[in-house]
Amino acid sequence: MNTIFIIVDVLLLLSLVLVTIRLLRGPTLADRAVASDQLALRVVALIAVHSMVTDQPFLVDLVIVTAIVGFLSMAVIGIYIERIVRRKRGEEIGDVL
Amino acid sequence: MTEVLIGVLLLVGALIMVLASVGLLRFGDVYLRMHAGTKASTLGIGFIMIGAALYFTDALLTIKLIALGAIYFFTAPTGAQVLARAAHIARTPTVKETWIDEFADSQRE
Repeated sequence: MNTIFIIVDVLLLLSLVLVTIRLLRGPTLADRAVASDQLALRVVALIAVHSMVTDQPFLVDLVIVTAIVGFLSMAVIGIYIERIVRRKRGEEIGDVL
Repeated sequence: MTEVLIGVLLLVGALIMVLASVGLLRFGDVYLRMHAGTKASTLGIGFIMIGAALYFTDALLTIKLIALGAIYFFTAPTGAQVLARAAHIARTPTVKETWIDEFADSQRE
């Protein structure tokens, strides 16, 4: 079982590195928002695996909080981009949020 | 027997995560990256959550993990939709193979 945990951890760290490259390179703000959301998701998976390795099930509560924060960051950056662009063009902003 | 099942679930979940990251890195524009990241990662985290639920065999924890899966299956498409809409309004360029754009057509009418 320990070998499988090590392999899964290495795979998740590899995907974390790939997502971080996209976070640093991403040409637009939307790319970075997607990458940061995906980063939060990988951290969630790592915490879940860690709770299994150390046999501490209360770490799952942490996972739920991280999931909600990751979603909120993505949605808020989306709404922010939309409002900034619309204001710059002089359009009416409407009832988004 | 259960250990083998848990190991297979965790490995499949982690492999799907790596594939999603490769897609996030290699695809051409924001919308394709969003597609790769959101869909595949949600599937991968679902596999890992099922593995964790089988590992702990605790009723309350299983309910928590199912709730987490449900949260992901609702929030990931919602966040991706908000972000894709914002990127489209900001006129983020697509790859040149994209030729259909129904949102822009509906705005023009």
